[in-house]
Amino acid sequence: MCEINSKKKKPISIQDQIEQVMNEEFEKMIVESGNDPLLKLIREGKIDSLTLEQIKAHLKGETNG
Amino acid sequence: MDNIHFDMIKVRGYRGRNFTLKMNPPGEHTVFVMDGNTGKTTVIELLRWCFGYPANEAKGKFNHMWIIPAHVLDESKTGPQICEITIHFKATDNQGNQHFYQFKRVTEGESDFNNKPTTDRISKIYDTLEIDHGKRKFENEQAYAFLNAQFRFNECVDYFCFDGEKAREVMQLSSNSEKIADLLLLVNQRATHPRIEEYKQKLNGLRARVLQEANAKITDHALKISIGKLNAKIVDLARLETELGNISSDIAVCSLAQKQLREKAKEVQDKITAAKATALVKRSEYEVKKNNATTKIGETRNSIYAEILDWVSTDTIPTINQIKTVIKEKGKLPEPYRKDLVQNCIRNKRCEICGRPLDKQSEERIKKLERQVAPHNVHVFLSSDFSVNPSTFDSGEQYNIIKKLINEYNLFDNRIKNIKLSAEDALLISQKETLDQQILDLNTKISDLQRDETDRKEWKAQLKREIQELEEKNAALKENKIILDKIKESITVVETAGEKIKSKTIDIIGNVISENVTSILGPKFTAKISETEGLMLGENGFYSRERGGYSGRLILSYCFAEAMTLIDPIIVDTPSGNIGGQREQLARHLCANHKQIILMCLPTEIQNFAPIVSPSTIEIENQE
Repeated sequence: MCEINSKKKKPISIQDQIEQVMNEEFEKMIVESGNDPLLKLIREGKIDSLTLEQIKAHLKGETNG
Repeated sequence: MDNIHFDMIKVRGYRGRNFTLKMNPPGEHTVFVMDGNTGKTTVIELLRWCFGYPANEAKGKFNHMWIIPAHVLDESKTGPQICEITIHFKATDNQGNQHFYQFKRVTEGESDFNNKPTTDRISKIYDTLEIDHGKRKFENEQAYAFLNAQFRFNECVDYFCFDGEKAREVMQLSSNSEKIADLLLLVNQRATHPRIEEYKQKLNGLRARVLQEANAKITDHALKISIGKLNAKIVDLARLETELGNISSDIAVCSLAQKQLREKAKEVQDKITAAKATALVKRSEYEVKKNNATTKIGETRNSIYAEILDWVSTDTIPTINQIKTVIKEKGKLPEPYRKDLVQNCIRNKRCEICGRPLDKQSEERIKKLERQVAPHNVHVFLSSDFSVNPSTFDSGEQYNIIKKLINEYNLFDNRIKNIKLSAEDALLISQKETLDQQILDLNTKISDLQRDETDRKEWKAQLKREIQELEEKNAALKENKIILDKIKESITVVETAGEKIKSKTIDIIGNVISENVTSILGPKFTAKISETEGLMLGENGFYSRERGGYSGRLILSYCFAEAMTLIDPIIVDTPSGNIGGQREQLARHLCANHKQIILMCLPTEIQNFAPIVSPSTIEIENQE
């Protein structure tokens, strides 16, 4: 079994393997591209739960910080 | 869509054959044992045809092995007939609901040996896609569009339906330095970035919330209308971006297909040129021989004419002597001359032969006759035998020589005519014409797509300007302007990352292929794709385009196909045909990496292979 399969300890399709690695690489690029505050909220899964006021505050904080 | 599982492939009336492949239930793989000429290759080719072309473009696109295009109807049948291909499969949607799909392609027409380039005279090709036993139904181009949008079958059917021909094509692509660009285009084409869409959706969702909140707060009718317009334009923009992505992908697919068709057309043209060159050599050889025969016939005839006096005289000596005898015995100059008869006529003034009275003129003539005595030399001539010097000229032999030469002439003449009408040449020319037409069709399609792309890009720029304007003018959005501005910046970051990751795609897919190669061939073997050297197999860290032998490169092709397909099931024709000692490892690798494997094996492939994939095999026989 290939390396990625061994890591997951369960057989996954080659398509899933590719998607998984691509997503990991994409995430790395997003992080490397300058800590965008909105994208950070999306990555952390917070964007839908925060109100617009909280998001604005977050953005202002990021801008000031 | 996920968990795609093929349940059944049913073929009716394909070249007079009927067969059904019923797959094992989800969670189990299926191994069909199919002897030679029972439809293994046909299944792969029919699936490629059904999923690769919409109904309105399918005519003349079915390829069978090296025949392009090939016929699907029964050549032994006269009158109207039908070929029907039915494919049942199921898949799970994003909400986890399972759906059942029935795709059916019906080809109506009749077989006609005079029809070119195939014997199929197709009157209609009709596709239907039924979802959940008729709850939804799509026809023809809509069916094709749905399958591509949901499953991307058209983009990967060449790889999830895998056979020796595709393996050979991959091997050629990977070993030909001139085709590395094609290979890399394929690899890039395969790349999908679902996270990009996910990020964009979230950002667009946030924008929608901003608009919704503004809409809820405002009472001004004009502002409400403005928000409504803004919303509609944002929806349009998202749709346009998706369409642009699809168009760009279609242009790349068509361009690659066109490039490959051009190469095929060039190969066929080279064969035609070579065939013409061979034909020309043969033709000139036969023409020289034909001309030689003509010259010899002329020479022989001339020799006959030159000696005609001798050989004609030789042949006529007996006849001449016979004439002389007749003249001497019975002719107008009888011997002895009958003097008394003439004198009696003159004396009695009456013809002694016919009894008529003689007039003055007749009397004068008879008097002359009395004096007309044959000269001596005439008597000598008539009495002697005519003879000429004996001739050695054999006219019969000359006749035989001429006859033989004429036969030779006719033989070479026929051979020249046969060169013109060679069936192989006709097939090549027909193939070239078909390929040229396909290239032209693709050209039109690419031009249309490029025009659509340009139009949509202009529209997109226009929409962006309008959105910007509406956002700035709408006072209700001012309080959340910071969010809207940030959304635009974030979308740019996502799109830039999307562009950047394309350069990493080759490495990522190369790594996956390498790991799969190692899992089959063992730890000594790896693979890599590079922009300069293409796809290579490595042994103990040394890479080359020839390493691994035929079976090693076949495994490499397998792994490439597995990486290139976008769906999980894999359908393989003669899967372990040339694999050699790696059969068991290949079987284990397939089981470890696919949720559904459908193998169409020869009876000779079962050992050390089929039972690993499926404990019970299914034998398939054709029904006429």
